[in-house]
Amino acid sequence: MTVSNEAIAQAIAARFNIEQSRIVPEASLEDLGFDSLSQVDLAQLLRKKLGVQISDAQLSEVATVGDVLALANGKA
Amino acid sequence: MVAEAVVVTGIGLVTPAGIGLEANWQRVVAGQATAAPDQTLEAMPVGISCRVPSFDSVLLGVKNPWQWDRYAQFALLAARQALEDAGLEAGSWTDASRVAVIIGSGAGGTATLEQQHAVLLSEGADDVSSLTLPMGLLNMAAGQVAIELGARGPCLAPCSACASGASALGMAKDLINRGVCDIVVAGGAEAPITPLYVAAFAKMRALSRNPDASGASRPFDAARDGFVIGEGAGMFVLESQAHARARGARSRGRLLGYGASADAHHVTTPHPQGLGARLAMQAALRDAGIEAGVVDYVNAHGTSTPGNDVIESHAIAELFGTRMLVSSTKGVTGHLLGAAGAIEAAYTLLALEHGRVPPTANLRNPDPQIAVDLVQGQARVQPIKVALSNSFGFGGQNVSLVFAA
Repeated sequence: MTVSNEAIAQAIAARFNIEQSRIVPEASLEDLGFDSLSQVDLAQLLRKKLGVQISDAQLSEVATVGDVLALANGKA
Repeated sequence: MVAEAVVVTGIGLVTPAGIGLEANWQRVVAGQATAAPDQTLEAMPVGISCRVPSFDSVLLGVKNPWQWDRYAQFALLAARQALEDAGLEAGSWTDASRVAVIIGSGAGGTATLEQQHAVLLSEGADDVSSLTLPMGLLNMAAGQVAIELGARGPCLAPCSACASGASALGMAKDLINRGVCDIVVAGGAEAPITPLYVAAFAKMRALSRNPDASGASRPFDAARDGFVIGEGAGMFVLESQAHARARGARSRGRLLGYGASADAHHVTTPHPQGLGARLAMQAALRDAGIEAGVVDYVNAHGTSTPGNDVIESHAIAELFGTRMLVSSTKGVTGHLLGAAGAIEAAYTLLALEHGRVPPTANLRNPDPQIAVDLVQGQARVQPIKVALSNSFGFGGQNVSLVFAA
């Protein structure tokens, strides 16, 4: 199963109430307001809603939206 | 040791009457009600509320407003306003360990807790947000605001239900009196317009069911039938007089006295003789070192419930006489629960500053059992020097504050 970048951005925007236009590959997760706690929610969103197999530990190592997309596409 | 005098150097208000001091005062002094039908409460037994108009979390200027419960968002916005009003800049403290943050609330992040409980039941434990507690806990407005302001002194979140905001100001006064802090950013915040809170208050018959929404909050009126639930925050910058003088700050007035008591009677019904209310007011006068005769105006708790208003008015009359000027600004704002004490303290100070006693909105036919000088219709224009503000919470928890111009 593959998930489009668009679908991932859409899901993140909806779940965290962030404008979708800000969720671009070069955006850093920190600038979007994510921290070690909320990244756990991000991982859960990717697993549950998008079927991306990703661990909390894997997500804690990424820095940008682009990293998340790469991880999602590699693992989906 | 002589207690350090406490002055108010800044106020911030985010309430149903508006965002900012000017909008609030105009609406409160004109006695214009804010209660309106609330679409989010359509499935509830009572569908009226007092909402903060034009509130947008963008106003907070933080990159992650979605990690803040609504009550903490109100607290931060009001705190920023209060700092600006005081001419202070967050983070540029001379000694951050002498700057405290005290924010009272009754319900804390109840919206977050209710939403996540629904997630737990529908999706299971794995889907519960990792932010549930950082957003839901009752102390988090204080914690998050302290982080934003870089304030490293005591950080507290008193809960005395609907007296919480007043408790916060009283605790702030104590810290300054004792010389522990130079500056305390203190007040109350509440965002309780949620299904659980409205359903529970409705079940207690505490909420007005008046079909005329804007006339529903009518403290002291013979036809009052409950309060209207409201949201918002009121924040103060309190400073030791010495600290304020040293930096040339403008004083908006002095917090002279703080008194607290318990009814020790019943969880929700006031003591029938208003014993707890009287004890709190007496304690505040003692703390201020003044006689009852010096007080010119009482900003009452005045919830618009059948139980509170008559008993409170009797306690006021007993202590101050039947000629005491009394009004309740809840006719305008509804009842902001744990934020009420702080926003009403602000209105009390503004009344002193402007020499105008705000009227009780919607008060047309005063309850004949009430024998004090109720201000209704127009604001009463007269110089006032000392005023007292009452806040009483479920649990029989009472707080009175005395302010002077």
